[in-house]
Amino acid sequence: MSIYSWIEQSTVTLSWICLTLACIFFFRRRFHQRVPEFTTFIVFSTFGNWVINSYYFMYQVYHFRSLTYFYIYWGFIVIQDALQLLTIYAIFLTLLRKCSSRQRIRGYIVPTLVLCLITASIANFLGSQWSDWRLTKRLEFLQQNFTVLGCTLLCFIACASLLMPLSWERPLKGIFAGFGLDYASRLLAYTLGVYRPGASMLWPLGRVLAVVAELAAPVFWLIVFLFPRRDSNDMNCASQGFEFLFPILQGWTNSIEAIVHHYRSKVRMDLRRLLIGSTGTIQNGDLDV
Amino acid sequence: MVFFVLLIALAALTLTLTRGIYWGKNHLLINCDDIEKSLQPINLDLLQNLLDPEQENYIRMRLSSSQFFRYKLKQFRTANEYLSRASHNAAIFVALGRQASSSSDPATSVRGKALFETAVRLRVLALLARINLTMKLVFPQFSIGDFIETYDRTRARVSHFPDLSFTEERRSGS
Repeated sequence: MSIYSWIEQSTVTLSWICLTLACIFFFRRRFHQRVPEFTTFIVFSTFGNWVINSYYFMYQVYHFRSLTYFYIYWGFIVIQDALQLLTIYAIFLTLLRKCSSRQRIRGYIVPTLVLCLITASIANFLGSQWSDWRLTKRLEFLQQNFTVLGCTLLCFIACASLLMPLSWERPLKGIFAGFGLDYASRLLAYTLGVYRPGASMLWPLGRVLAVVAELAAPVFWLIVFLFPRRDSNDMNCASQGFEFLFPILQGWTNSIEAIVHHYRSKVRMDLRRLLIGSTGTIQNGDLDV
Repeated sequence: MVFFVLLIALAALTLTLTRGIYWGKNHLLINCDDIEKSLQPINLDLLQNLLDPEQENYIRMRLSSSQFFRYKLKQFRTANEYLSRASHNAAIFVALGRQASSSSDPATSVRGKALFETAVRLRVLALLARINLTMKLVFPQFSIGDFIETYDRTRARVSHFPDLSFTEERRSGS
């Protein structure tokens, strides 16, 4: 057994264990009640991993040697990738639940994603040798496109949530970050293993990288589900509830005046230094919020 | 090679944004003291004055090219700082609107939703304004649009927001 196959098999086993543990702790800590969107994905992934890995380790076959394994493996991969995209989209809709313009945002997202998908597909297929490839190569190519689409979707959601800004609660952001880590590491592995100039020289290493990349998300999810209380922001939110609105609603104006008083001299000095010296036209004024 | 670089950049961007989501500070999860300390002062009159095209033309006529270039850089830095503060404050307004919209009092809830929507729009406008401000460095005809007026309207809405029934409800709820 070569060093590469040894690493590959160990990583696959580790990933299998981590995913199973993540699934167990997901239900044990009752996160399925708080993030039901993730339930289908993790149950399907865990079940599929058990089927594939059991078959693989019982018969010691790789997919090009066994037609049954081939169909099970690729069927599982395609469904898992589709579920992954749907789960991320469902998480985004959950974040938007309090936003009354949710329908309008959805109206923007779906056409944008379809446009991205069509553009990426056309660009990819024009640059590929689709007709010369075998079925396995075509399926791997489709999987890579799924990964690119997933990265694009994640970037879009992350930008939208930072811009709006949307509220990420525990463990939703951990799950989302796990997806991000998964897509990013898989894309890095594919890119280094396939698109890097002279990548064919690194092929066994590229395959190991791809397998290692698939380990990232289960490990991350396991950590998130095992140590959920490490997130200090969420703990603050849980402890304070809505209490923080009282003084703001009662003494809004006074608070603003206090801030103005605190900042006025500092900002006035900055503005003098920046502007009045060079232009001589802008007069200092009272600051407000 | 171009495709290789693009894919690496996409992967790096995904990782960076994921990190920002997981470890970044969430504006919506801050207590009352933090909100008061977090609000940043903005003088809208000064910002409007700073970006006034007539004043800019006046200054252009009285300064040499190098002086005017330095003035433009200072103008950009100052205006960008103000827009950054406005965006930051808008995030606080979003939090306020979101909390108020969950009230059981229909009037407060409606006002909270309206505030939330306006504040979200303000965040988008702040981003567009910053892009326009950057473009203004090269193309003087660019302006930051109706950002200042929208910010002023949102601020007025927030300053008239105190609602005793809402606070009482919160108090009894605790």
